[in-house]
Amino acid sequence: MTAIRIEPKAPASSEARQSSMPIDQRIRRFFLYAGSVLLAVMFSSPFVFSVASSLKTVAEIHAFPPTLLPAVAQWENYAAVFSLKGVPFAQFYWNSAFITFTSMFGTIATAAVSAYGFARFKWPGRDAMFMVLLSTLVLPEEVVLIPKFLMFNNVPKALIGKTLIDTYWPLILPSWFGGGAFNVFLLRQFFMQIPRDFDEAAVLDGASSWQIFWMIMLPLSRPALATVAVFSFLGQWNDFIHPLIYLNTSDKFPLSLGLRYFQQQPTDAMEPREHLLMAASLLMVAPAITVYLFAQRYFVRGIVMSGIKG
Amino acid sequence: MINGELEFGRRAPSRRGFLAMAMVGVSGVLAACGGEEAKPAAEAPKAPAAGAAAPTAAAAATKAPAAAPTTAPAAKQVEIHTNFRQGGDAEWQARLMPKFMEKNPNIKVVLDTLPAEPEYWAKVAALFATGQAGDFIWASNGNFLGYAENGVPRELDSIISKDKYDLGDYTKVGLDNMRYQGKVFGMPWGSHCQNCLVMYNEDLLKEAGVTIEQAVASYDALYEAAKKATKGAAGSRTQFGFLPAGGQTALNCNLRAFGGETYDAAGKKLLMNDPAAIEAIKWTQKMWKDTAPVFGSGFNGDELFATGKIAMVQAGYPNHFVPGDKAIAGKFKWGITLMPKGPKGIVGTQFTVNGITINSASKQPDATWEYMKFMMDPVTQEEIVLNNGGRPAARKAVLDNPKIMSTVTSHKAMRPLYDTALGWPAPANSRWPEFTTALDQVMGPIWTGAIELDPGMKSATTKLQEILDKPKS
Amino acid sequence: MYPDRVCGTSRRAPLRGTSPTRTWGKPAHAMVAVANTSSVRATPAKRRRWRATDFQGWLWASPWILGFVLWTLGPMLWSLYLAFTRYSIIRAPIWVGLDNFERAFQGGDSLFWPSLGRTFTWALVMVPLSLMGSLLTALMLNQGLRGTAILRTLFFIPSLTPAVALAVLWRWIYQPDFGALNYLLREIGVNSPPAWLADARYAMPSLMVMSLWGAVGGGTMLIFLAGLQGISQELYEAAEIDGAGRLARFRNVTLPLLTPTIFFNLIIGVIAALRTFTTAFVATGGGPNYATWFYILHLYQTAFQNFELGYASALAWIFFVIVIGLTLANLRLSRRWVYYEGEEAI
Repeated sequence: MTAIRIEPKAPASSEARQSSMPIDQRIRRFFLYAGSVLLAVMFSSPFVFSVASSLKTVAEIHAFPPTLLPAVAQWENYAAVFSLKGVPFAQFYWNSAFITFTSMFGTIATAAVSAYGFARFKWPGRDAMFMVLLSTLVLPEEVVLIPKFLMFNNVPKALIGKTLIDTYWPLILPSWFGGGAFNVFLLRQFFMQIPRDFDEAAVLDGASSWQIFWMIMLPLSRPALATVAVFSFLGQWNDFIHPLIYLNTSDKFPLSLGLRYFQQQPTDAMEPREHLLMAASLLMVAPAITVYLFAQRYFVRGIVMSGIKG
Repeated sequence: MINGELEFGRRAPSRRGFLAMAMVGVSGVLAACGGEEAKPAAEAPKAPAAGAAAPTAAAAATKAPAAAPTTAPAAKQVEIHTNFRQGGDAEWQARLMPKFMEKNPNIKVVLDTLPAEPEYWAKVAALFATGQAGDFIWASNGNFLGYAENGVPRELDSIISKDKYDLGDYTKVGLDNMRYQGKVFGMPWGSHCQNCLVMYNEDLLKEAGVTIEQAVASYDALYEAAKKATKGAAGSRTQFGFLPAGGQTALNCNLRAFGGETYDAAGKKLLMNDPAAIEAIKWTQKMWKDTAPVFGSGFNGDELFATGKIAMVQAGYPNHFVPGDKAIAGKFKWGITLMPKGPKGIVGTQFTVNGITINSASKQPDATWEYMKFMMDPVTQEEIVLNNGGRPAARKAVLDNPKIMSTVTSHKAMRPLYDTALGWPAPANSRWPEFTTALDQVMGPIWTGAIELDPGMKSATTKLQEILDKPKS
Repeated sequence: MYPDRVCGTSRRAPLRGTSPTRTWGKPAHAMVAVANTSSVRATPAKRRRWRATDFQGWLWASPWILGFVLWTLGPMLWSLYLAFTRYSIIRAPIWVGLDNFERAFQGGDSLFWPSLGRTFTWALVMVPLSLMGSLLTALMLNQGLRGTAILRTLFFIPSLTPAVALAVLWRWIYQPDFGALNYLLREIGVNSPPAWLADARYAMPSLMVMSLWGAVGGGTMLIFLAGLQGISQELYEAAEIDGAGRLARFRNVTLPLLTPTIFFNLIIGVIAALRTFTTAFVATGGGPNYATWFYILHLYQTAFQNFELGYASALAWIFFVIVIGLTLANLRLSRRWVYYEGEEAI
């Protein structure tokens, strides 16, 4: 029976197998463990280093020879990040959260809607449109960067007399129009796997397409929706170039731009702040890690089932 | 999930699905109207309010050069926006604005802080193009010429004469730095002579057996002293003797001390291959290689100084404050003095003005002029300079202010140079930001010793001359 | 190939309860085939009048279509126009015809070819390395070891870190005088360790290591993982029965069935590598001496530092044509090596 295994084999059975494993397999297992632990250590060492650095004092950052661990862990560094004069870190946090979550919801909603249109209906031009959708996957953003900037300035000015530069609209609005070809594509693949039998049964019961969407497609697509949510969260949370171009007022900056405050020369506000840079960076990474941890299970499942990998 | 067990109509998730859609809907509504309101304390820059008649009346009532309180309660409320770069300047503006508004109740001042250079220049250009730049724009020599050529600042001669504003105690070089085609387009709100100072750690020098006076006797003496204060072989240094400054401004200070120049007065021909310039470059190269951390390797010079790792730093005006007493916290004795006189007999300078300008598209030029006068007023200036909210204006009333003289060590050291400083040379095509970036790129390998001087200079010159030859953008 | 011999047919048996014409499990690349042989009992796509359901379908898809016109098509056309102008933001665009393209290709911009060269070098090295690295990590994580979830998270953390923080962290590590790396090197006896990011010869390799660290455990690995888990155990068991060793099983079962996934990651990976910007912008600023002056960084500086938006738009279009060309070439080549289970290659 062909079964799709989502997670690795359950521990119980692998243990049972382990006790009856021949020696050479045991050795192989050992090397595999050792290898992956080694790799894991290698991979997380810069991360460990940054956590350790975040707890150092100014002098320790520049200490020579460099030390790994701080003498005394300066947990107050994390508090200092928020209370630094001239750097509204809490404001940056809120801005990032606002931009990211509004975009995320927009992406999920409109990508699902658009994917439904591609998956369940056949209309003239649909296939051509789908090819176009795929080709935008390979379109580099940089080609449209400048005109989008000009468009967000000139068009609103003509229509409503105000520019949208230095507002959050250029960052959020595109997410509410399908949220990107990748997400539409992922969800479309996923929808196409849901058996038509359900649709037909629903139609017999007198359901409209809207109800089919709500009651069948969405609930059955939780893995894919979670995948889209995580991808769009990460994309927006770490986005650097768009806020850089669209936002001018520093009060509006998200964290990705705000981190640079710690990188540049300490402003003449007299307080050195390089030692706070690591703490600030970790504060920025923390939500992303949390979101990833939560959605891990859905992630792989979502990609497997959507057939996107082949 | 993908199996035949589900039946339409019996699934609890339909309620969850509804909740999800509700959340989406709500957040959509929030996004629609929350885009503008949900940001606490954020000021969205709006186009300046109409009302040109009222500020003219208010300005006409004041004739004195200093900021005077208006006594016309019936004057219409106007709003002006100011653009400053992020940093001490902007932070201090927040404290100054209320004082101005107290004296001028009909003028509301709103501060729009922009990122520091080099993004600052692009941002202002983009804002100006979209009609959103402030009425009052900070514009340093870095891109002042570029702006002037594109019509960003308003010409000030007529305003000055109409207001009978007295330019008597302004220094010539200060005003000249703000001229375009002979006319004044900005006020020299902040001014300094660039990296013509040395910030030194007295204790480290004493340890090396040298006094600061000996060190700054000449460029060669500086090199010797720095070498003595450098510990460790190349590639494994634990202490550094001298840190040169980067960028076109610092390099030109050294070039001028030797009698050289970056490019000619017309801003067309690169002069860095002249013998005097080459001497200066050789000296700079020696310093980078033998006494300084690796050029361009992402270190923070001020913090290194504060932690006692560098004996001397080629410094500028702000270094009195940065790292400053607070960061050093009495760990060692330190001071600021002038760079040595070069072979040409002068201390190298590149007079820099942090200008303030009125946006040519501003609808409240007179109110903006009032704010400019307030900014240039010696009383305001004293507060600004003492708190590192800016550099001193190019006027004697400020430069000779006794309090500033006695408190700010870098000012005391730099004051004599204000009268003799050489001005700011600009490329003919106004591509200074591009030039200074390229300069650091092409000189980098020379400073790190990755390439020999002659081949290095050859390729550097080609690249830099190319930039000078470009047409205006 | 094993799958054929093992299964007897070229198609796997469908899952119980699903429609026989289900479309999942088909490769991403074969979506066109999917679109044409969709699981709808479709009428042949002849020209016909729009029915009510057609309009509904269009309405459902309209958010994306509208978004495409507004944020993609419109700006693309506008940028095409700008590519033929001289435009400095402050002043209105001035038509200059083919000047910008001449300038780029005929040496008027001395950084054009170098930046293109750097970008291609980067892609040529990074893409194979990161694909192989991700595949290896995915294979390792697919062995059913205990603690896979934790390992997976550990591997993924670097790719969760924002580029800015990553660049800052690695600048510290790479700092020649005080950084951890050179300290370790000196301890083991290397006398003058290189200056890494500050040395034109080592800047690019240093950036590569930095990027690989972030790329190997990220989304690419996840997609490989999903691909691996989509290969049915049945095939492995059959191969084992036939007497194939581990390596043979990998070569004849895993690899062929993984080719669609590899292909997908290849396309995405090449495009991402060509678009490198933030890493260089934050870590080296394009230096030293333009050693890491990537194409997109060049575009950004041209637009926002030199105020040459017309020329920058021309650069953007040249880039677009290159990327499309490479993708089409990849598509063509893929017919030779990508094995689509149960599908005719397109």
